[in-house]
Amino acid sequence: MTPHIPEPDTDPRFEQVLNQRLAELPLETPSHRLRANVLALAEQSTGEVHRWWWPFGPLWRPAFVLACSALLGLGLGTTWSQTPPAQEFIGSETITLIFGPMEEAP
Amino acid sequence: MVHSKQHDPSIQADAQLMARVAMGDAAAWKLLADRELSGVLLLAKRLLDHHQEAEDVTQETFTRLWRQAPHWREEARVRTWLYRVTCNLCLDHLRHRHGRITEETFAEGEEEAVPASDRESPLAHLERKEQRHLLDAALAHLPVHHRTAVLLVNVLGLRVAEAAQVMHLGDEAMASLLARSRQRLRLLLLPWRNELLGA
Repeated sequence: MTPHIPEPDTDPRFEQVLNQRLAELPLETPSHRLRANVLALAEQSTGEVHRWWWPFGPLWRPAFVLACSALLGLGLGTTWSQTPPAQEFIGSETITLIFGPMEEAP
Repeated sequence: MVHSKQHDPSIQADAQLMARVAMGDAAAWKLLADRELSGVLLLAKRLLDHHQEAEDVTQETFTRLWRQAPHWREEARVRTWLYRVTCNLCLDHLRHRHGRITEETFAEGEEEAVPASDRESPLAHLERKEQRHLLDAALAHLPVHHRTAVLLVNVLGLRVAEAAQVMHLGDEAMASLLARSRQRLRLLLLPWRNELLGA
């Protein structure tokens, strides 16, 4: 079968209508899933930033634990502060600190 | 009309938007997605003729845009970049689906004409309200390169120079391809010329 080959249409009105119809073709509406997945790209990234800078996150966690320990120590020290038994070290105490308690032979 | 890329305000505005995206600005990303999603999806769907595949390609395109944000250079509009990536991904999909799409395929299509039997299709009896379906059918019958050219310029409103960037062609080659594509579209629609003109 010989295909029908029409003559090219050069009617400017047809051209104009064709342009208009093409420009009027509606855009596609993305599904909720697609839109959510695309927007989630930014949310995931923001989440990652928050995870890193959040005080309880991996970066700050050791610093946070250290700061808490220091505050706890300060608090305890203030609450139960005791005066030392002597204002000055004496020689025997220094020797005991260095060599341990000396036991006298029976 | 020749536009200087450096002084094109839309390119500069897009670069600023992409800089915000690179900083993790979710609002900028949403603005970009709201502005471009529909066009990218339209292009993918018209090229692939498959809704789910088109959505997958659209998502992949935007994922690549997100990764590209920190490296974005003020050279082109985001829209041009998106359409280029979409076209490439769609061509990959089509190659996997139908085997390799080559210029030979495109050249063979040049000599094709509308079979006489198609003129007796029920489409010929559609009223003016169904002109869009005629156009849809005609677009779907265009070879993929022709369809891409018409979609980019006549449907999505890119300038010929921008469409040339998308299709990796020179400006003159793009203009020539567009002229041939439109001629082919007119030939496909010729049997329904009166319906389209509303006569």
